Amino acid sequence: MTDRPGQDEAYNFAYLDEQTKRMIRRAILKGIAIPGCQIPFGGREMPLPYGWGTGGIQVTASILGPDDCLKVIDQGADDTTNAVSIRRFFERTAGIRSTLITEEADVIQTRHRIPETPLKAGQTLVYQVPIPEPLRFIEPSETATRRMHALEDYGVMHLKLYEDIARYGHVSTAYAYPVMVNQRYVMDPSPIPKFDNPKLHMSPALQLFGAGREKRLYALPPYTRVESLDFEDFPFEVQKWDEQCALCGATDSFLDEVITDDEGSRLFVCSDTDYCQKRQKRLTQSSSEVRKEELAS
Amino acid sequence: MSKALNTRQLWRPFNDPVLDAQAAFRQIMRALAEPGNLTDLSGIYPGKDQLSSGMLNPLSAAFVVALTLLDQDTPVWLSPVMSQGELATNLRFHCDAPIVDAPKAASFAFLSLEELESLEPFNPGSETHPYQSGTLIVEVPGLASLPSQASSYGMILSGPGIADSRKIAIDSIKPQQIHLLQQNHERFPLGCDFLFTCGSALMAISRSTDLQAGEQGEN
Repeated sequence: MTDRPGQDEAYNFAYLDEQTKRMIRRAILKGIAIPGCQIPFGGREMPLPYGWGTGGIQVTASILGPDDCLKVIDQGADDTTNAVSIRRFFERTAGIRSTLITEEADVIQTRHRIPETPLKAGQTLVYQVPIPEPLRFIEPSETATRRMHALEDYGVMHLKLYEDIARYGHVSTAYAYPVMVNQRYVMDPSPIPKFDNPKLHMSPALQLFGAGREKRLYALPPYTRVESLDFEDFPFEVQKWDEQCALCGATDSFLDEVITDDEGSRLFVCSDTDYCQKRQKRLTQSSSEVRKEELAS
Repeated sequence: MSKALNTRQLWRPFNDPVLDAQAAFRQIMRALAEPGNLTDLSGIYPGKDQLSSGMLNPLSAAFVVALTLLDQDTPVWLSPVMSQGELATNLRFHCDAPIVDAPKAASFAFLSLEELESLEPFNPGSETHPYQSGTLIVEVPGLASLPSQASSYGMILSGPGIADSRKIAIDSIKPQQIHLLQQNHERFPLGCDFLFTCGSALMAISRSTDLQAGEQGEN
């Protein structure tokens, strides 16, 4: 038995039993060996409902070690219900340290965002995925989509983007924007905004994707080529804002629109709370330094 | 008829079956995610130099892989060389893994480098299920991850997990065997994944890894 301060002894380390972890670990290795290919795994019933990150939690539980520092974000925020409860779940079942700071984390579980702070080699990003199959909305049959992946029959994906262009004049897909991995598999990057797609490409961090309801996982090893699908005359573009973050003034981060009253007033704030707070701290520091200099002169 | 178990043939398992398996998995995962990176597992499970006699396990990295990944759900095939020692006894006892006669039926195969003559016997998966493939654990006489400026190297790797390229050397590997690894990559996404072990050292070459035979420099 392992005694760890803070770990609830009623559970095995990180909740899952060892045989389940072995099964998921074998699937993770297959996912890494075939980047972008969906690997089925025997998903377990978790103590929270599907849609709350059961896939991500099972992947995290299978890789997490006692010395790891864990960060959990939900739409970029560390302080939402989903992020807080998953962080507390692992603090309780694994006795691990957790952090809100991207650079400090060894494992980051995320729902629908990639942190703004660039990831480093050695870090692992675990995505929560609702529908792992990028072709599912076009082709409901699993047998058919499996054959399409086998034959690299991805024309329909381009057709879907083309229909966007024909109808709206631009590609209207704004999140879960399909990508081509290692020039072989079309992959759903999970519902991250397409703003984050370029961060998938040649990332120094290992990226793992877990879908609990669909019982699939897939992976991107570090330094893997990930290209967003596009056309020569309609190249891939990310969202841009005319506004800046109302709290930290950032112009380079993904902004959430916040409605502030019934009159239609609104402001934009960074979706990545850690990034925003670090910038706010730096702003107050630099302004206090300016004040000191003014006093000194 | 099953033979009675000779407990003197048993290697010691992990000190901590939960945390040691986790630590080992992270190293194996990193090795496969960064093909050609050499990793040493002696911190988790002592190599042969660190063990007192009587428990001598010459295959510590291969055994760590087995303890970490194998169980009753993973059919295992052992090559003639690997069948000679105590590995079979230990895989049965510690992992409860079924040992099968046909390499095609195995999800993990243990062999020595000189026995790697063809990939035909092993399961490469299918077009629709490429992940139903076998993983080969190959014990080799020597492994090295080389600096990028090395003039003499066995192979140069590129592909997912490798930022630019990575030079490696596997002692005694024959040109035909390098060719086998290249053929394995050419049929991607089908193919086998390789975990090369040497004592407590481990290096992976995935089916996604592109490799070229290297230059033999003066030294």
